[in-house]
Amino acid sequence: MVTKDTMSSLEVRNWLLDQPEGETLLRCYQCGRCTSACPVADIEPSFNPRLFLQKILLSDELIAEEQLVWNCLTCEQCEVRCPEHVKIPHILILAKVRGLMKGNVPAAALDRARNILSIGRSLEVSSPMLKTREKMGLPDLGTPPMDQIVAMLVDIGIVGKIEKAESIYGGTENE
Amino acid sequence: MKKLFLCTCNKTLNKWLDLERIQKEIGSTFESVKVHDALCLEEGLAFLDSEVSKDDAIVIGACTSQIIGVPLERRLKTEQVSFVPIREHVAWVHKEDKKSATNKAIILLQDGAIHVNHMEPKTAVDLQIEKKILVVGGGLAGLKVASDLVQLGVEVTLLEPPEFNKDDYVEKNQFMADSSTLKDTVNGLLATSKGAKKLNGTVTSLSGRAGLFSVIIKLDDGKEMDLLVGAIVVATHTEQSAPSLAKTSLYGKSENSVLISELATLASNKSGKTILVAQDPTYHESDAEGSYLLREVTQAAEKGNTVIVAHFNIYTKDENLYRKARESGVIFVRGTLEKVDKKKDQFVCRLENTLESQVREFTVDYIVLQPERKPWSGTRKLANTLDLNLDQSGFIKTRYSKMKPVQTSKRGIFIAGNAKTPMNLNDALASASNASLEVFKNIIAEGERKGWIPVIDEEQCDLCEACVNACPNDALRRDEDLIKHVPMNCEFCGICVSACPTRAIEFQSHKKDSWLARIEAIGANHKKLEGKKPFTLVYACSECANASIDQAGFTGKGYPTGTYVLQFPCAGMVSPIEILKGLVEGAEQVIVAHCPPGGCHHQTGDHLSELVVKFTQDMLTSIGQDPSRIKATYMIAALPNKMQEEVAHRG
Amino acid sequence: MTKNAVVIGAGLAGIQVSQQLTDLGITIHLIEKEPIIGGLSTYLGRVFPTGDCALCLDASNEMYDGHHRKCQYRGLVTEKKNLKLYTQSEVKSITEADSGFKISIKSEPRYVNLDRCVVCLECIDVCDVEVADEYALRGGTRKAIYRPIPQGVPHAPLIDLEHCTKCGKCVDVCKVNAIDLEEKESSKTINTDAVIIATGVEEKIPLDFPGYEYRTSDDIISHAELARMLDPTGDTNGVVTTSAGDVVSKVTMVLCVGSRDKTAFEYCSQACCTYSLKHAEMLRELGIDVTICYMDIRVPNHSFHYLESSIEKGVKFIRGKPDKVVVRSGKPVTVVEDTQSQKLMQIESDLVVLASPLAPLGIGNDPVSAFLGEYGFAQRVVKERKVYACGTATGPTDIPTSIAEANAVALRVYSDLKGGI
Repeated sequence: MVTKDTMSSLEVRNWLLDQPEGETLLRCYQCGRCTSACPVADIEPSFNPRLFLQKILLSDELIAEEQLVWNCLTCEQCEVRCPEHVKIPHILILAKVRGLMKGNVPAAALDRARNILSIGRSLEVSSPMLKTREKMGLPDLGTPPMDQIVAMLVDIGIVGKIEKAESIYGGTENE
Repeated sequence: MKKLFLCTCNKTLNKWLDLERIQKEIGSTFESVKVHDALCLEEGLAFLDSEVSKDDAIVIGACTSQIIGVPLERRLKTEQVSFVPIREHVAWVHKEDKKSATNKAIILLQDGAIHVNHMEPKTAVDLQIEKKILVVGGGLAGLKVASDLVQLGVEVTLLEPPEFNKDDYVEKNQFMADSSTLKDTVNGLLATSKGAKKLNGTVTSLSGRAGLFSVIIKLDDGKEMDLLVGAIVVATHTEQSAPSLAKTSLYGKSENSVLISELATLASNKSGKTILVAQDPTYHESDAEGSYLLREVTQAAEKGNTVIVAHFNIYTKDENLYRKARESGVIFVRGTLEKVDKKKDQFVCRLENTLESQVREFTVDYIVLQPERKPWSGTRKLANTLDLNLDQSGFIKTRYSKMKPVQTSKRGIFIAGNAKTPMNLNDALASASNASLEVFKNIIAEGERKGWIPVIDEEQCDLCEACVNACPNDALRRDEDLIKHVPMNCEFCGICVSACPTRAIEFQSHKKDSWLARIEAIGANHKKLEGKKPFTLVYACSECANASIDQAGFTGKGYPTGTYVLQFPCAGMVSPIEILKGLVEGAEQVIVAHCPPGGCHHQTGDHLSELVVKFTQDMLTSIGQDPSRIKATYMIAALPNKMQEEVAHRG
Repeated sequence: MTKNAVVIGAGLAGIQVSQQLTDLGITIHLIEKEPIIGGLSTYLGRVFPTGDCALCLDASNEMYDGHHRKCQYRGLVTEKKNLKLYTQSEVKSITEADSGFKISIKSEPRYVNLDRCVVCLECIDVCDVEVADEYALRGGTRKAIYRPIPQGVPHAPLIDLEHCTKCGKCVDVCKVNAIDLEEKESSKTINTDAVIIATGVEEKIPLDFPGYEYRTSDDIISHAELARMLDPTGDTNGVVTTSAGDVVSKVTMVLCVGSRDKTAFEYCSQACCTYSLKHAEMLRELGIDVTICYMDIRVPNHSFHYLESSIEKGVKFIRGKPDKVVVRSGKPVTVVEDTQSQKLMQIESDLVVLASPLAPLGIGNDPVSAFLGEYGFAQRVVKERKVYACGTATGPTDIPTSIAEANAVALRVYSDLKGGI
């Protein structure tokens, strides 16, 4: 497959470089250490942080449609190991933002966002999880202060954005 | 008088050698036999001072001549000395068998006695040296050599190529450094080299010898001039040519497909253009060219152009150049330009980005190629005239790439800078000063140069010129009906001796008869002392092979007794006759040990001795003998186990 | 008046510059902190680009003899009249004085007198103390009186007093009275016209580069350590073994460990590509499978044949910088993305060799470090007519480039001190 002329405008690349710390991307020399450091890549062979960086460097608009980016756990192992100190997790977040801007958000990500709005957590805590915590001697989780969370999210305007993305993306009700 | 001195090395050698038996059995061979416990120390040297007179011939049975030879050379009154390394070659490697080791020591000491019989005084060589230098320039290094030497008060002629002018120093060397550094350096050197006589022309012939070369130069105005110089430095420049990628890239067909030397002009006029810079994967670029590419693309990007570099390897000594290029926005794609289509004023370039296994197309305004950097076009002709060897890429070859970076195959001729390979400014200046140093050492040389030289028997010589062709140093020349020796070029290797089919060349102190007598005596003495036990002869060169055999002793890499090492000046001196003589005298095995492949100190001895052994093996095969009884191999000090590996192990 | 110069560091460049200057009539004080000269090369055995001994040197005792070569082992370095070698010595201070410098040095005792020792090695034989040999990787030992490597110059042994029991056996057996167990450290001040820094580089032991478990496994080693194993005089007799003692059949090499890396050493160490290829070729000759993980292959033209022959001999190349080497079931596993197939590889091998950065040694010496610049490397001419540097003290590089620079600096020093004919 031939990918034609991603470079006629350097839109994605330039946009990302303009974001705070986005210009650290330029230091990347594609050594691949990030990918070999990545715990997600270890279990999901098609998740390749270096390749994401390469596509952004080449201003490939397809990065905005790249749903795999959302698999990043932001564990920052790649950044710790990067010999050129590229802020890789941050750049992948910017790639997600780019996806958001284009309305390309995976359902799972929206689900998590909705969970926070409704229960104050990205994941619903199941009773086996609570049992495990108890066995491990971890403290009680308590109840998230929903009022405050919702107020804060409304305050920074996230709620509206999620609703908007949902309507574009057509996320399903899940209650 | 013939005297033997034995050293016990702090009374230790008697652990492995029966020194009393040695004295008893060998006593009749020498007029006197003296034993000392530390010949290498001051008391030992003083002892030798009192015991040895100028006319004595002496054999020293001690440690290797590599160690004891150094202080002795300064102290001994006689030049007739044979060293028998009874420590490294006998005691330390045959610790398990005192009787046989003692036998071996006796046999080798007897060999030393014969050796010293044939020893002649060294011949002093005429050291007349012309204290003027010719620099064949064009490269920046030439200017540097001229500058160095002028400042040292040496008379220098700097011959620049026809129609070369001083602007060319910057013009043709852009790749060597950033332009302001380059300009400053050239201006500085032009000022400091003012005292050199500058000419434009070509060298058309060379005669004479190292230290006294006669050069004929054809000048730009057609006149010829004759120049007498002591040494020559070749410091020519490089030229760029379109790479094999040129055709694909429409280079020559479109004015917007150019070489990287034009990128700066292109970028200074325009900005906002898209430029694809392509490396040629079939060409191995130097760090200087890699750095040049990085500097140029950075500048073009800083001027506001989009620059894409299609590369397969980034090579620079300055990692920050690469960092700066990336940070200035240059886009690096690891792949080779495969296809270019013209589309209106633009090019559609297709290449596979190997780092994403994806074919990509880029539409660009300009294609810029990294050229191949070749030696100056006159190099081949110059090398022919000066009798220099070229490497695979057509640059002038050095004599020994590790430790002799400016020496050529010819004595008295040196190279500097880009004559050797494309270099960055810093390395080229170092290379130039290195050449200046060698030249300077040559012309301030004083005293005499001594060595054993080949002597040609006019009666036996049939003028076949085999020796002339074999001599690696141009030290033998045909002069009408004679072969003449040029001592100043000679390195005393003896390769001419084995090359001569009529055996007309005798090497001082190593006459043919001396080898035959020594081999015969070793065979006879071995039979006398060791009976029917098989034995091995090792004909070792006195450079790497001998060092390796010494190291076998130091590292305790023992090998069977009945192994006798004969030291040849160079393995290239060994002819089939000495090999066959060894077999005739009963050796089970004859090993010719030389320097590592391509590493002969005399340039060709490793190769020649392999040929001689192969040839002798073929002879053995044709008369129904076992050719595996003889072999050639390399030995080096870093591999002291070589003797252990090569010498046949017997039950 | 005879001019003199102090050369700090007796590695290849320091020896070369000293030899050249003594040939030109300048008196040299050559100061070396180790007991033997040769620097990094003493570890290496065979070196590129010629594949012969590291010890091979240009020691031209004859002026005109610009072509012959001799080796360190063949004595001349220590036998030159106007060259004074100080081993186990360090520069303590450098002060400007009159037209030159006053340099004070401190020398550790060797306990063996170099002028008396005949190198019979009897002392080593009788010594009862056996300790781990720092040059050996696979459990080799040495005595308390020992020679670091067989080819080491000066040849005389030295005593490691930390382990010596002062039993006196070596003293008794040394009939030439070369051993003095009570020798004290000594100090000396040298007045000199010029200083030449030739402090060189060391292969930085990759202890603290995250990811590469050098500390935890003896099967993850550096190139200097591999070179010792490949050396037939080493404790393995040239056999490449694992820490368990098995003969190795598969080796993975990692390039740029800590080089070209903002977290460790920003610069390219320049020589590691070539020596990795050299070692890869030597391993292939032993029938060992070799994989090299690289980013760019940077070999100068005079060493390009190593790349060609490595490819020809079947060395495998993976373009990617491994994140880590981990030990799984006792074997080192290299985790790397093959960036050209975009596949994450887990390469199990018997041995992993890390190409560690070449770090400047001058930086560890106070008076010398004052003359160093970026990254701890010096300029060729640090101070006009006074302080010079050559060899890897000016930046990591290979032997031919070091030698050319040493020769160039020798000419510069001569020209500055003596002016010319």
